[in-house]
Amino acid sequence: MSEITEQLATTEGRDWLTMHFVLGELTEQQSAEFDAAMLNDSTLCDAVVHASRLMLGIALACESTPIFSPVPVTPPVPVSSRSRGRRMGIEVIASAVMGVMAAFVYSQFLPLSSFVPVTSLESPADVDAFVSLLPDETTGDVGADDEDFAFLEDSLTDLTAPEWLLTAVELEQDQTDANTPVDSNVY
Amino acid sequence: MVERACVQWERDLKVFLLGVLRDSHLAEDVFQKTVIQAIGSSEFVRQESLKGWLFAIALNEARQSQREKLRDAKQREKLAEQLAVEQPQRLTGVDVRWMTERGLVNPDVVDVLRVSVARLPKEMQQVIRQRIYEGRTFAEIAAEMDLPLGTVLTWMRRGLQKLREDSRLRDSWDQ
Repeated sequence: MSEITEQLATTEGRDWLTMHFVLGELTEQQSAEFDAAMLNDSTLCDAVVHASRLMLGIALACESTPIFSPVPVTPPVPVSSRSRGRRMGIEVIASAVMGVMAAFVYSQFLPLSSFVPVTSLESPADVDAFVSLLPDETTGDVGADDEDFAFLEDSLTDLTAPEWLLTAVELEQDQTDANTPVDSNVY
Repeated sequence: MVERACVQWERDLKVFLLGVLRDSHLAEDVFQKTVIQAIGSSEFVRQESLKGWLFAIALNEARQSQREKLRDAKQREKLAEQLAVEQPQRLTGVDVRWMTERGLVNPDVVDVLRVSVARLPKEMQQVIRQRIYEGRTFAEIAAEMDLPLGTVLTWMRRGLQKLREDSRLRDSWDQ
């Protein structure tokens, strides 16, 4: 069975072959075979009529339609929501670590006696002594110690994790994921 | 009977001949020859096979005209150039005007097609437009889009299939 005969056996193949014929895409041999098929089948002539009208209609439609911008061949790399979520999680963890580190550094500047638990205060005198250790917020004067605390407060307000820390945590996470099976149900 | 049939199927015959010849002037000439030949052979036709018989005459006249054209010295040189360059035959502006002036395509169908083509995926639109309207070869389109030829042919095929399956287009064809 020739290629022409095979394609004519199905509706889709027939339509495609007919369009090829109308577009002048068939070889001389294929065209001769198609001619012979048309002489034996008047419905194939109808198909040629339909294909010609479709082709002309498309040409007329394109004539009055503005040209759109060509389709980019290389699609953008997709970023999965899972990797985005993981990135955000890493940033939160890194920020929390930075916060703990900052709190630890902050605590180093306070004397140990400031951390006397309230429950250990046995008498009003002890309470007065404890209260006297608390910073006087009403004066507003900045003493030498306050300057240190002010410096630290400025540092505490800027708790954005540095890129090297995020990268390190991410590499660690990748290594952990590589060693553990992935559970698609986990977010 | 034959004369009536020629009037009844005049549009379809002309569209058919344009599809075969891809040349509106030649299609018009061949249609005239078809009518003359049909009237001259009318005693040999049966009513039930009249349409198929007319189209067979049209096809034979079309091929005969193409052979005569090849034998013409001036056309032979021009065709040799065309064959060497392998230019695809496409509908020209003359052909489009010819068919529009003779009412061979319903303007409503063109409106529906405009919408239907716009609803196709962009890659299918691009291939269909470049092949049918701009007359580029599939190989040229594939080279420009940096894609395999098979992909371009698949997009063309699927795009045309989607157009054929468009219910609004089918309804407008039937009107």
